[in-house]
Amino acid sequence: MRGQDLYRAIDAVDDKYIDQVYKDQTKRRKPLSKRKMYLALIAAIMALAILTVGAAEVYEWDGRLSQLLGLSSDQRSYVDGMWYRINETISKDGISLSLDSVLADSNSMFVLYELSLPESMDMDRYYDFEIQQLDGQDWYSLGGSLSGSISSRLVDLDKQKRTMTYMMEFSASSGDIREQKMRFSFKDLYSYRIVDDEIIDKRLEAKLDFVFYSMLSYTPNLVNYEPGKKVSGKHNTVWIDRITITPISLTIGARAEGGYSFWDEERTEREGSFVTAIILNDGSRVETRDSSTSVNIFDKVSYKTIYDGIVNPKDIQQIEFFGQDTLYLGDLDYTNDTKASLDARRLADLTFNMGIFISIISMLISIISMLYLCKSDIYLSFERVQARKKKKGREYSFDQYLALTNKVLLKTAVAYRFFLVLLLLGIGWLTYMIISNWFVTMTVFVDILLIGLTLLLFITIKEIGRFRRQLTKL
Amino acid sequence: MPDAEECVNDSYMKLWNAIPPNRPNSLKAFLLRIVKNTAIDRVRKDKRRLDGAGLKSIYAELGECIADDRPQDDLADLTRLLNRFLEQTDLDNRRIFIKRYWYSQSIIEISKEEGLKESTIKMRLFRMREKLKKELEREGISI
Repeated sequence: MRGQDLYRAIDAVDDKYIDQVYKDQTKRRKPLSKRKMYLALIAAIMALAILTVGAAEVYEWDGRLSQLLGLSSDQRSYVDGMWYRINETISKDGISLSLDSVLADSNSMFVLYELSLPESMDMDRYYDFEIQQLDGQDWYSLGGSLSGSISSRLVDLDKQKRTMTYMMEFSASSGDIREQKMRFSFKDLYSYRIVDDEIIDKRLEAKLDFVFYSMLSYTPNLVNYEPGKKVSGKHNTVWIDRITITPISLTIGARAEGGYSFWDEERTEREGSFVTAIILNDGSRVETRDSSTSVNIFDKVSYKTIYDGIVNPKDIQQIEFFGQDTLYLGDLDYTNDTKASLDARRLADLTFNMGIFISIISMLISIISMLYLCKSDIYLSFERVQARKKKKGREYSFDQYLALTNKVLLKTAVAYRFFLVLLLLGIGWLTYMIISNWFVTMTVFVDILLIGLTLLLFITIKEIGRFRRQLTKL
Repeated sequence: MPDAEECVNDSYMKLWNAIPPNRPNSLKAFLLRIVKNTAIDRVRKDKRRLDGAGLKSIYAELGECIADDRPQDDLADLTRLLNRFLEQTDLDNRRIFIKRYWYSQSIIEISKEEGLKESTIKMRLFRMREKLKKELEREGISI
């Protein structure tokens, strides 16, 4: 046996090579297994996110916005880090629009802007833009826009300087606007007069299209309660799941027991407002405006309001529901919403958005490949391809066909590996998010759904692996 | 197990008899060589166990590198070439080569010790055999 001779020759090789084998092994650090490498990578990213918590920027409080909102020095301290200065101006035909500053929390925003008019325009008239739009473009998604209500009011008029200062209020009906790129759009300036509370003599002053872009800062002053308690009105019983309080707004998520009704059964008596009062520790009541209550088909109740002023979230002691039931927040535990949890939520979303995109592509490739290759005998499949190739005057052998098939499936396996890394990252982030928030939101639910889908893909690709091994045996 | 224990005992006896007159540079390598050859001799006595010990597959792998009609008297030349080949091979690959073809370890054992996949070990061994084959061809020893 020729191999045996070579084996005998190897037996006589220099002693140093024999000696060296296990000497090297003891010196050498065993390479990290793939699983350990993934875990190390997840740990490193999580550590990075935790470290960035302290890096949240703190902005100075702007005197003008503060003055216009009528804030005391205490109140000003509550909104540290919520104020954001834009200070950008766009001019056309002598008309200038300056976006001054923004005060925002997770889903509400005050925007201060100033309009300067040329000499030709009458300062005794009222001016407004025909269209005011606001779009928050998620930094991670392919698009998306904010939905909610916008209203503007004139807060200052200086006829000498020919300037008008407005305060725009935005209340988002869903989503988190923090750290999102905002697009402020103002179109077509018109003017009017008001006589006996009626708008008259409305006319278009200038065709304009002013657009500003700005990234909103992170807002740290959120307090979350998860009461899990029941409140009752005349016709409704509602379980309060989640209360988010910020210095400028209050948001409540709830579930209505047996459906939510704004009227009694005969539609003769209307149910009172969902939230009728917000009471502070000192007994004072907080006025609200732009309150909205919406109920979806699953009887989920969403309530949102902006206070008439600024409130320290921890000063709110009670919330009065339907004018007859009160929830004492003092009895409940609260959690502060941190930048880490926001980042975690966003990154989890990003990871899963990417993961699901790749998984859909991989899944499609897998399914097509599997259907094509597994549904019939490989030899028959080869014959079909061969017949097609013959028509084009080309032929290849069965071995070549097998090699090609293997190559296609191998590429699917590569996509799977890339995807698996994303999946592991996503699971890491999701775990962190659940631990840091201790609540299950819609995002978490969707993420869990995505994990399910990805596991499905995992199984599909494992099947492909099995099939490939069968092919190799052929 | 009794076989293994007997092998160890026989090996120590052979070592006792071999030193002196031999004065090995590396006692460890010398002893390992004795143990290995004692074990192989024992396996060879029962040819059915040859495959069980994994030697058949090792011979087959090495057989790819060398010609059938090679003259019998060039074992020393072969060893000299192998020494040169091992000297030129990087440490990691050399270790894998020696583990497989000197220590006769299985691919699974090597992969566990090296922390590499079995397919990686197989691929590295294949490439080294190809390289060795070329070396031997250049010296007129291979096919």
